[in-house]
Amino acid sequence: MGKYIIKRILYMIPMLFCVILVIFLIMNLTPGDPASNILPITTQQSVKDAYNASVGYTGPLGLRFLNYLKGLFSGNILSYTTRENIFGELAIRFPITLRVGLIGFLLAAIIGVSLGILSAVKQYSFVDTALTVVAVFFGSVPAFLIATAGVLLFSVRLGVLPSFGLNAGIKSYIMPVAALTISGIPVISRMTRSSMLSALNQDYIRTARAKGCSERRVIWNHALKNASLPIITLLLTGFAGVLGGSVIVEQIFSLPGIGLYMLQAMNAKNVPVVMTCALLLAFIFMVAMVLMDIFFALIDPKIRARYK
Amino acid sequence: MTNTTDNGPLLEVRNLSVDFRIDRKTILHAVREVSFTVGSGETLGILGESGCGKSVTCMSILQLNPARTTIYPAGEILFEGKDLLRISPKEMQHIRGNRVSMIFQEPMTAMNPLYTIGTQLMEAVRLHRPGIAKAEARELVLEAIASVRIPNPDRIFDTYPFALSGGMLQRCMIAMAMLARPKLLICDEPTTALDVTIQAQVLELMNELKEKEKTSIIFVTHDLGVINEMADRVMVMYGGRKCEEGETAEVFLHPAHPYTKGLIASHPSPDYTGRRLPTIPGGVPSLKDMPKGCPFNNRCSLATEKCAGTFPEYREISEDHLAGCFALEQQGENHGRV
Amino acid sequence: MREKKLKETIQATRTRSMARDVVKRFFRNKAAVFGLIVILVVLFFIIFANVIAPKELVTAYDVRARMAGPSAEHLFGTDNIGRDTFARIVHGTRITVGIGVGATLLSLVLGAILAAVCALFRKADMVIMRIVDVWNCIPAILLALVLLAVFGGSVGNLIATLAIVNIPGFTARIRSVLLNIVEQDYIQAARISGTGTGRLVLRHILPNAVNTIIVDATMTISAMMLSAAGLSFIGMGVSPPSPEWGAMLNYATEYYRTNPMLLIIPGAAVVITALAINLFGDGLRDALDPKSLK
Repeated sequence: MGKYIIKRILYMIPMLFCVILVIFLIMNLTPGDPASNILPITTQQSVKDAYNASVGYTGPLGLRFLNYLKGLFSGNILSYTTRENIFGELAIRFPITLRVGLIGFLLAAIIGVSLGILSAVKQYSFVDTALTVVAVFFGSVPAFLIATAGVLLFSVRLGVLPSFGLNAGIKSYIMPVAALTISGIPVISRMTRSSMLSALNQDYIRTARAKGCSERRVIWNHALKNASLPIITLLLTGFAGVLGGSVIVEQIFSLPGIGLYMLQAMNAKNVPVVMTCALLLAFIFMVAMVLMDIFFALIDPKIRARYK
Repeated sequence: MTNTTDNGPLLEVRNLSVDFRIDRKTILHAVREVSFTVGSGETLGILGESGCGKSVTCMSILQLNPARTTIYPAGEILFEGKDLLRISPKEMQHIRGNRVSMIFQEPMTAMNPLYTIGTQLMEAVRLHRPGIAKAEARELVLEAIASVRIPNPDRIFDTYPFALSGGMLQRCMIAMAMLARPKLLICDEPTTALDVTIQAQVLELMNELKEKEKTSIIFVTHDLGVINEMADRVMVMYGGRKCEEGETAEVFLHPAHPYTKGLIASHPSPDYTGRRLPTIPGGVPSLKDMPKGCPFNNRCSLATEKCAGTFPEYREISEDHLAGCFALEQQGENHGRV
Repeated sequence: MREKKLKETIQATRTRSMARDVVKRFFRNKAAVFGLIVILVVLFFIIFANVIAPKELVTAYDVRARMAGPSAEHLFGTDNIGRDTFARIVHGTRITVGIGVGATLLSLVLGAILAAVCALFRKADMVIMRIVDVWNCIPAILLALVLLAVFGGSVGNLIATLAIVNIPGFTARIRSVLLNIVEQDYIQAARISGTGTGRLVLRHILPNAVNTIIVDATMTISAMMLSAAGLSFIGMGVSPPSPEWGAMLNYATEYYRTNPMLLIIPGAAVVITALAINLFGDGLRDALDPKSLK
């Protein structure tokens, strides 16, 4: 098992390399350049060229890529626009994204999984039908509309929550977190319901009942553990998705997280910032995948046996 | 603890009917007015083709039919004086795996794939003896595993189900079912999914345990040979109805119901010489289009109009041998054997 | 000869009655029927947009009625410069739903081709799946934003971008459906009896994979539509003068206080359309596979 995990972690290195290479090629081989995107349209071409040269957007592609890698390993990559180290900026911005994303995601996971279990255990009851209807409805409402509706109601109409920024302490976080939570719950609860139902239909559930397990024990000890593999898959891929999806929420609420940073960098053709953000998000995604493998092995003895 | 008298039956099922509600409009009748008893230390075989209601009947005893769709419109299941259809879930949990145990057809899927055999057997012990020390429970489990003649109980204890064969798993299931020394063991086609040689070993093992523990057994199967080997008495079911019941030897030698006759005739006997075996024409109807009256009337050579009306009263063929068929009436009171 | 004809008749009857069963099951599901009705209305809007509301109305402004509420003349009211919201919504249907359908079809075709190659050729499978792995690691939204930032947010670019982001998902899902089928006994039987690869795919594998893929694609249309609206909303997709629903929402955020109707109407259009497609997809899945657990 340990060997397998080390292999997986080592496998991440070429994968991450490919990810930044792809982003690098897209950013460098497409029309447009930093100077044209930042400086006024009337700027002379010679000034633009000088600007591009000063930030490093010149010369052979291979060299530019090597320079980026060099910066990455020495922990000092300069942003095209601010000429400051990107890592300093990330250290301030990433916690904001992580806070909103993690809290929103955890709430969605807890509420979604609980409602899914409830729905499955009470299949076809009124509660189940009502939850399914609500889940189908909210499954069709994207996060950006929930956020907009929230702003309309709580900021414009009621005036109780700020519509942007982080200046109101905890209040500033309520709507961004709620938007992520509400848009995350439907998928999680429906997935939990269907995997619980298929687990509850298995023969070993009948065996557990036949040996005298209480219904509670049947659900928590026997069904849920078996239903947990698809749920864990969804949650871990979902978490990586939530961090990526923070762009939209951060844009709506003007939160200074990495989503907004990335968006501004893309519009300014700030190649090193975009590459570094992509690297960070891809890294988190891959860590989530390794965690998933570990969870799978911990839960399923058949998978564990394969690694021995 | 019990209020049964020694000579009364351990289990008495009276007039049991089981329905499945498919949707708002559709209700299927899986079992109709079935009555039978199982005495102390007795083995009752329930014989029938698939879909005849024998499994549903067994599942009803421990209330293991799907709770959401199953309705019990009539009947009683008396076990040690209590009606199992009307006790609380808590009381039922106390009976399951403790007073009455059950083993199932598919050993490969009957064990939870995520826990070791030991963990699952330990759970069975500790559910019914909450105070028991872990070491003592482990001792009990190892003993039980050894008693179903599995070598190296210690090794099996820490093995996961996926690493074991069907025969081994069914032994483990039997060990688990016998842990609490139940009064009644219900076996729902326990050997159907096994190879013939393994099947023989498992049956031999069960007979041995029965002798040792004096457990009553309900043995469900569609295999006449297995019934012959295992059962003191046999009940033949068709289309959710009981059609014949009696001592195994008596029923097999003098079958009274046309369906039983057909079943026995289509089974190769030891002096079978290669002639073409007779078959019962047609197939078992699905629950959705079960004929009215006697469910066998559309396949029966003796069927009259009467058979499509109501199900006949059961008639005593000889002592402790009942059959329900209108044809028996026409043969006259004393001439039961058609 | 006669026997063959008889066989064909039996086969045809069987297919017909199976199709009838699916239709019957589908129409018993009220939510799915609601979804179908809304989809038909949306299709009506798309086909007859110019008949329902002349194209000029999308950009023409009525100076007498700026920020008007709903009236007989302006069913959904007007915006701050007097453009008729109803006309814009009707014409926006073409763009928003069109992007959803276009991106889904494009990624479906490309994904299915890749998946089929994977399922049939072992060596190609290895290579393609490695590429899909890398593709999957780049966060979808980041890839979409990068592409839109460099190429600009036209309708065509949005379709291409969403398709690119979606291809690995389709490839992986269709591949697993195909592999599942390839392993079935009846495919082995067809192989042993000497059926060629092309015929195998067309006659045996495809028909059996189609149900799952249709349902998957239906759900993808609504997801793609929501993504398109979301990207336009944050200003990375189609830009405001266009009546794309997300762009209309983006434009409306400036009038949160003065004219919330401008937000509510396109917002409702997005949600109702996505909901209808999802309900239709759910109903379709249940009707095609009655045994599946919901």
